[in-house]
Amino acid sequence: MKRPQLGIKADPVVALPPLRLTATSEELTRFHAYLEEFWGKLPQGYSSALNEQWQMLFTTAAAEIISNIITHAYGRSDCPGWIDFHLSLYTDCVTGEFTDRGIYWNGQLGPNLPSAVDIPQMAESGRGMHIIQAATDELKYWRSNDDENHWLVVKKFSQ
Amino acid sequence: MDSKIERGTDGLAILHLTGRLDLASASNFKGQVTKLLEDGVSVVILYLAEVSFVDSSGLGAIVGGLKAARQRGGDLRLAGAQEQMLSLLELTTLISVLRPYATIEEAAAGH
Repeated sequence: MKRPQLGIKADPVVALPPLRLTATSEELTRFHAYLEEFWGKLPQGYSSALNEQWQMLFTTAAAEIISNIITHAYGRSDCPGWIDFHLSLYTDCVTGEFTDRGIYWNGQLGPNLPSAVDIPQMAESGRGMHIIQAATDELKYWRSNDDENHWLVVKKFSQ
Repeated sequence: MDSKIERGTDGLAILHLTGRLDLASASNFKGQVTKLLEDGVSVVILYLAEVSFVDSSGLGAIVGGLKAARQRGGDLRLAGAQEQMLSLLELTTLISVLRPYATIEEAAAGH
């Protein structure tokens, strides 16, 4: 499947070189440091649209995608694979693109919280995809012909 | 994630957490809560003022701790949660069962 069109025509204002992570939970520290570096490079004039709350929601969503790849795409693998993470700032949004070579994602993309039930039956997992969708504006997944998984998350600026 | 346990009276314990409660630390955290409950603690207060980030794995571990505590007739309560954690509770609607208290004292009192 080809990369979906996003409707973003301009070149990015800021784009860090992609971060390659080993798909282990220990690498989450490097992931957070990379995001901090990115937020520190925002040009003047972007800080009000991308305030701390905005950045926090984007970070929360991006971390869920990384964790999802570690857990699901590579969870059954004997040796950890890799994840490429690429952040770009455009004039009206920030995009995060994730690439891995783990197994195909066959879960739901839509927001689907575990059913509200009594505490003893309450699910301990299954909220990640809902968090991503609730914290951002767009989420896309596709598997390319070279057997790579691609996740793309878009968060528009606050109005 | 770092942690420190403070034992109180009347079966209460405060688990002071520092750092990120996420995929990397959720399992260890859950083990700590389980151990406290097995040691006779009935009310576990998670002090989260120094927790910078929580993800769905961390949230799941907290839900697991709450379930385990309630099964024993006890409780697990949140105190001092920061903005990111509060947003996560709102986004997942878990705020209806995991009420965040501002301080340890309020959490201990349960109101």
